Amino acid sequence: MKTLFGILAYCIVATCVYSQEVADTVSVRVQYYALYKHTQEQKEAYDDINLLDIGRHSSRFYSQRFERFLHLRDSVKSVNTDPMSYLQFLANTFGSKKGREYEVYKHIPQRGTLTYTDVVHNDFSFCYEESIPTFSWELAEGDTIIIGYPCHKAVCQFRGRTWTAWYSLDLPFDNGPWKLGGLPGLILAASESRHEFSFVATGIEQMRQTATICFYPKRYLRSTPAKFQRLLEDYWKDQWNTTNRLQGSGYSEPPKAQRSFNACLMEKYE
Amino acid sequence: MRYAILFILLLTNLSLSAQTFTGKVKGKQGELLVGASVVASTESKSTVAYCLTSDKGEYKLTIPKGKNPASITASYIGYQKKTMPFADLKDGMTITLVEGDFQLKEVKIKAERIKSSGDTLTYSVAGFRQGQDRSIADVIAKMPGLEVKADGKVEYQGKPINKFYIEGLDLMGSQYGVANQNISADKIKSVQVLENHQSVKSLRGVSFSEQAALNLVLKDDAKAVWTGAADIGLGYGDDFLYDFRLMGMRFNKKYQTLMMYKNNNIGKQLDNEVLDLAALLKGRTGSESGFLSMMSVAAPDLADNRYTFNNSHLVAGNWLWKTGKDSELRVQGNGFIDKTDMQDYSSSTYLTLTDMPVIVEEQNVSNTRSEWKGEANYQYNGSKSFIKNNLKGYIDFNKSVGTMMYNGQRTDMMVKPHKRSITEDFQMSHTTAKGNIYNVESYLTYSYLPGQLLTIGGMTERLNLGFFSTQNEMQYKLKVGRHYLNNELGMNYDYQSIGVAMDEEAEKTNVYQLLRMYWYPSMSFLFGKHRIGIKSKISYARQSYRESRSNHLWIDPAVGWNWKATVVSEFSANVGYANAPLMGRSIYDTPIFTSYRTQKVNRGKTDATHALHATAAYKYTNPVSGLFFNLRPSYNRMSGNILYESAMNGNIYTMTATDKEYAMQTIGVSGRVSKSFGWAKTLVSLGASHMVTDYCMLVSGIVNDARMNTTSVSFNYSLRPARFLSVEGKSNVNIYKQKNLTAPELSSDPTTDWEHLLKLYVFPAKGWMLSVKNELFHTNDKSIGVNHFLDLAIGYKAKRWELSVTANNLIGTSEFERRTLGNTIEWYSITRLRPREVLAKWCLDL
Repeated sequence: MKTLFGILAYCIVATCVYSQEVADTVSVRVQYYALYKHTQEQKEAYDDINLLDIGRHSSRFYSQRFERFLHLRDSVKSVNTDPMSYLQFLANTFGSKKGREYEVYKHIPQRGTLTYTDVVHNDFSFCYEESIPTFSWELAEGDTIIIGYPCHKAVCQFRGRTWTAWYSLDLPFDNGPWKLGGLPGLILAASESRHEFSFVATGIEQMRQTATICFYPKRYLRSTPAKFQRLLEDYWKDQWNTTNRLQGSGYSEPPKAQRSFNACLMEKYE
Repeated sequence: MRYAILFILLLTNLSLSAQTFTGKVKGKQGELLVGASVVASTESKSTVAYCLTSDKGEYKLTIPKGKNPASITASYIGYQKKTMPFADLKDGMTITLVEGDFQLKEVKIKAERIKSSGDTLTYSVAGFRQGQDRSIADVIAKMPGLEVKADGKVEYQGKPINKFYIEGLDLMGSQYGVANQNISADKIKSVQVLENHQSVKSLRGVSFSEQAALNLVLKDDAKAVWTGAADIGLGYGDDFLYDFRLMGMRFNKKYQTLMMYKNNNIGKQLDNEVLDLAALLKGRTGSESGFLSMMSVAAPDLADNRYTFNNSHLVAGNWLWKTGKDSELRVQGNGFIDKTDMQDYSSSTYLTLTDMPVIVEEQNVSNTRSEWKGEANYQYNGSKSFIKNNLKGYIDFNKSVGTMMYNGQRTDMMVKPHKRSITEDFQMSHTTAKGNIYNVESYLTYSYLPGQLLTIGGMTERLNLGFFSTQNEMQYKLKVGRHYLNNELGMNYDYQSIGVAMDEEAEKTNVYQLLRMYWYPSMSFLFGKHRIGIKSKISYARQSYRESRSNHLWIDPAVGWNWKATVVSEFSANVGYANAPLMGRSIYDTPIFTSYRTQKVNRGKTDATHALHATAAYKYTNPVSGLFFNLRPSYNRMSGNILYESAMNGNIYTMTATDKEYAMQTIGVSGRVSKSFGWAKTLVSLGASHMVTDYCMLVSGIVNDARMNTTSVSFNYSLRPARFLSVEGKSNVNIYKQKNLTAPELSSDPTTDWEHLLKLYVFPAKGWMLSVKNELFHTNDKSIGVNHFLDLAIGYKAKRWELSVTANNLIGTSEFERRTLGNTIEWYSITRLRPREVLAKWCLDL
């Protein structure tokens, strides 16, 4: 049985690798309930459901909702190739809870590297690579229980925000939501001081069916952290012209009703 | 004793400075464990210090000053945790872990329940809690894949989106930039996509269009509130000018109303601002029009508000009642009244007559339009079924009256192309327990067109047209293996009665009938990154006109392919073949005047045209580098076109259909490259297209082959050199060459038209805007001078109101001369233009 499983896993990995994609099998999946803000002007945070897939040598953090939306979109596209039907589908799902589009891949493409992907304006997929960040956690007094696991507290400053994390020593994974990690146990909850971003674990499972972590570099436009941060800031300031620029159209007077926002970024690169 | 004190000091010293322990963590087989955790904890289990092993399996644990841990725990996934007393830890120690099964205390991961929207016709109730507090501009322009240009033109994947409507009414006008601020995004329930939308630009010969439009459907709001907008514009040119708009909306839990009144005499078109919702939602391209049309001005390539002398009023209303939890009744009505004056001069040369006679016409006509439409729409939107019924009526009292100088001879003009129609459209959609979806639709329309036309001979032609059409179809999806087969079964029937009489004579009536039954399967596949769609319409058609009958079995296949090769490159291609029967207007064999001096007679035999089309496209989109490129070749061949023999019988130009037919073939290619630069947010683009059309004409009974070459090149640029200044410009040239290959002396001279546009926007202070627009037109014809237009505008925008002053045509260009080349005719025209005008406008949100 084990050998069969091994062959199957190898085949899946092989197909991914053959198409120049990096792959891993998922051993543990953690679900988080997240709160976030897009702009500094919004009064209440939005919510999302995230999943952290931990593999043998890499991990992937993504939105469960957005993953489901993509499956639905792909099935619509496969049933009907008419671009107008796709537009109709987008019109029907407009405004519904689609989930946040960013994903964090740790130790992909190789150990020590982090790949971050995001989608701007539903159309433009970008990715950038950076080294796995180092966190200078300060251990703090405090204990709590999250999904049945006793957790300890740690605090650190990371790229402009003060994060408070709760980690469990019973789950010896150097991992956590988003880019967080570097603690001797899995981070089951994290929040930052301005109450603009937070994550709380709501479920954890050992993966019995085969699930893989596959990164498809060909789907993304390569950028850098600084360039991408600039793009997000520009986008919220003037959505009209930023999308025009991304599509190849020139500057034009934005509609009277457009509002300018200040992006609420999870991290700030200097 | 001294040694004891020293020993104690040494001991205490140890706990007063940070201690560092290094070593390795290994497994039983000696394998290095990377990323293992080594944690120092107190007795109460709180963490004192920790570290994670490096790539070489090495740990470096630093115990901070003053901390006294009780134990050390080393752990790693897949191995059993090892705990030892702190005292046992020695510097340089290798901690060995034994393999063990990692048992998780699982907490079930739940999937969220998504509300399924069931069938494809249901408009999902979108939850806007998650959306941004966006404006309408955002809702519309930010629909993924939509590209909005500055002039309001919007494209989705190369197909232009014509218009944006709210509840079927175009409240935003033709200028998209003036998006209505009253309706914020949280009032929008859903967005409808209307395919094959045709904005009524009737007289230009734009019939079928592959364009789409978006319609926003509003939510019923719990709070009863009135909102609205008012625009008041007053000005002076040759005479007083006015431009008003008054719009009010009220939202209730069970009732919602939208009412609008617009009028202007500054040349703005209002008749295409109210949407024919039912027809457009189903992709019907427009109601049946008769053989007569109102007089028109030879339309130059200018914006129509430069040469339209109108006096238009439009009143429109839209009321919605919630009749049940899932049902609603909507009533829409509108009336359009307009009086437009036209004066122009044109000289036409017929390329189909050997002596190429020139006809000079000077018209002085006024068009009076009075068009009234009413529509009632009932909709039931349940979880398993969807029912929609639409009843529509239309009546108009349009007429064109005036005088014409025809080659120096004065003649009176009168056309009354009246139309009355009633349409009933029923749709039902049902989702079975297994998830299969069935759609049924039945559409009936009857149009009665009693037209009148005064001919150049002084006789009045009376037309009596009665067109009845019904289209019925059923659609269902079948699962075939992994794919879906879409099926459509339909039956269409048309009955067209054409009656014509001159003056007091008896009416001659003939009837054309068409029965068409079809099966239309379609399927799409996904092979890796290739998307392929195959569809084929298989139909049996039976036509009859008087004694002529024909039966056909037609197969109309179409294949589409799309390949997103990389994230920046995309290839696509489409090939298809279509058979189209000739309808009554192309078959009737009684001579009918279609204009005051043109008479046409067809063959009286049922027939069809056949068209083959093939297009391909390559698109390169790289937003990171700012380079965009596309190339689109296309091929089109239509056979079965009737060859008409032209003759001048006195003053009347007659076109008589012969038995000869010809094929028209068009080959073309278009391309565009654009690049954006960081400096001053500049974008430049260069586009070009070339099309060659081969066709035939009959000249004195001999078939002449002819060719029309159309070439156009355009250069666009836009930049924002400073915060307060933005510049936009374009230059383009169109070259038309028509050649008669059989009798080259009958070819016409080529025409080259140039257009240059430069727009400057200045933003001197917050809320202020100054704009200057410069347009220059010139051609290769030296006798036609250069036409120059200059428009100025200054405006101030506050939160709830906006004031602007515009001065149009400052130079005072009064006439626009141009030469136009068509397939069988060449025109030279002089169009009267609106003079220098100033308009002050105040827009207010109520």
